[in-house]
Amino acid sequence: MGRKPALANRILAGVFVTAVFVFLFAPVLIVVVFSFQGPPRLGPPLEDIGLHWYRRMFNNTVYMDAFRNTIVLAAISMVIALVLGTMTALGLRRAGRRLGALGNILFFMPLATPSLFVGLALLAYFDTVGVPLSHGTVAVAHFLWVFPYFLIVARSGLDRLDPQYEEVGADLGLAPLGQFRRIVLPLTFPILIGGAVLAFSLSTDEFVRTLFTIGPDSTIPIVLWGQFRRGSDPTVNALATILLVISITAAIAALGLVGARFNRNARTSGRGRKGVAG
Amino acid sequence: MTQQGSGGRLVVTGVRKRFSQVVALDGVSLDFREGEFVTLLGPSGCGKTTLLRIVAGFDWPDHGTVVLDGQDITRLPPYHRPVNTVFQKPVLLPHLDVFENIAFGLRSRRMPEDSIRKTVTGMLEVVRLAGYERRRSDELSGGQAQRVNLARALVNQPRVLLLDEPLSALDLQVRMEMQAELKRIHRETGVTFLYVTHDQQEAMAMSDRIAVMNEGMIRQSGTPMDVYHAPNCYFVASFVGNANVLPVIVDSDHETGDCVRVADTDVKVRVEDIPEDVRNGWISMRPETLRLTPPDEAGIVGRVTDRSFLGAHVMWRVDVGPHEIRVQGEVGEDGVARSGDLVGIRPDPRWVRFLRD
Repeated sequence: MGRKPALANRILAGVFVTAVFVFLFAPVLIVVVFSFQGPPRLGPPLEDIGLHWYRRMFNNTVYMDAFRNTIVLAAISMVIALVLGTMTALGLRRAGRRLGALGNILFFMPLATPSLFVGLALLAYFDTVGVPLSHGTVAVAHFLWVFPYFLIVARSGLDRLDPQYEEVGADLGLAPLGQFRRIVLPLTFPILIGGAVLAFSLSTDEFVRTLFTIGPDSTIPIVLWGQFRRGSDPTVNALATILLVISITAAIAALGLVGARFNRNARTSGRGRKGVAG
Repeated sequence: MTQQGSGGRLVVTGVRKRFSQVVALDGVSLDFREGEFVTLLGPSGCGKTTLLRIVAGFDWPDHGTVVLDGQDITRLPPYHRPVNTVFQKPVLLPHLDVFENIAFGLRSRRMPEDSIRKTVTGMLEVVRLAGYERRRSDELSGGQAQRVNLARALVNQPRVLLLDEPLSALDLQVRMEMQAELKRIHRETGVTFLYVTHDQQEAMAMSDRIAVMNEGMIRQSGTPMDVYHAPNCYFVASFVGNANVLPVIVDSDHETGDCVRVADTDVKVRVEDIPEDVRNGWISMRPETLRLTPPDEAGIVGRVTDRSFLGAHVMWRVDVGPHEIRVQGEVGEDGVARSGDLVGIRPDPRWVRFLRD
């Protein structure tokens, strides 16, 4: 193993990585670029650059309704997952090892279940029980979908929190609710927010479960699917670009929050140990 | 910040605690006078921390009661008890600075803002951290963090302050300094201290009273002097200090005073106060109460196997039959004997203790 082969390997690796990134992001880039194209075509060549398709999108009530539904659904399932998931994570943290393991299996099983089965099962269930399909039924489906993801993130944060922090709180006069509000929440909220953002974005592009449980309404993925069955409409480029901007912004914000906290915690504990030792 | 006589009277009676298969406390009773500094001393796993956690309210006993100033607090949650804990690790809240960490308990009790400011500032003086108000917990040394930990507990004016090995993670030098600080703070505040440690030097240096614990029981409770010079059982004698504890057989025909024979040897030692009906037991002799002599001038004869220089004194290890006896000498006596020499050992009968079990 001399220097020259290593250099050649590195060049080769660079080329390969670049190729992967091009493969990953070129389609996205094409969508973004052509969303600014003038009417009436979807593909190249790029002409008459402007906001034509954005105007059309905002004037299209079907798109706008679907957009509103998507956001409302994502918000509802995110909030429920945030509240119930945080409570579940707190509970599992105090559970013994066996109960905790059982909880893991039960709560994370939905992740391994094909969405087609879940969608069908929910449809059959709502039909049997006599609940008409509505926003409520999709909300249930979305909550079931995003909950395990939120729980994974929440547990990763809460399990790492030293239980002695709560004992300190109790010792200094705080009842359990106060311990949560003044100690657990301030120390873990960036992670919980990160989990919530993840839940939100998972809900916005869920398709199969939505299709089975939504009834007469639509979300963005459902509308897009219907649109493409009838032929391509360049408006979707504009829509996709807006969704892309929203989800990237949310992801960066969430990563920033979580990352900042992780780094601070790492620094704190590292320095703390050193301080104690020396 | 001086509040003489503000310590509480704590009475622990018949406390038992079992964790699944392990008996952590097996019937512990202990009485703490107002303002007393009591140390629970014992090896790890002896139940001392469990007892502290039961007084703090983090664990509840299976049997027994904890009474503070006449009030039964056995089942009271920690946040309703007038006691505070100094944890082993400082566990300062990382999202708060020094001032807010110390003010935490006062805020949970909704003390007015100007009183908080005055009280915390006063407490920073007591623990000698004035000027550190705005430091974050990761900007403190180990000793400073432990001072904040102490201030955070003490500022709530607890009736009893519980200290769970608070100095064990510190350097020797900082530890010595903090021992003096703790004694001063105990004297100035008058709070009853319940101190847990496995370090006997720490216990000796600070306590009014030491309760030596082993296997979930208190073996002996007394002043540091009592526990050191008058151990009441094999465990206390061997755990506290560096005593020579030897198995002995009581000779029935004592001519002058009570006499015992060290097991598996012909060595006889004079001991005072042997109970009537006892056939065998142990004797405890502190290394510093023994003197080396020429072999023909003492009842105990053995061969030196090792001589170590320990700075302030010198320590010989002497094989006597199957037993090893450690003898401590002053500086300058190290020429008396070296490895391989045959020596005599002369015990001082005033410092030889007989132990039944």
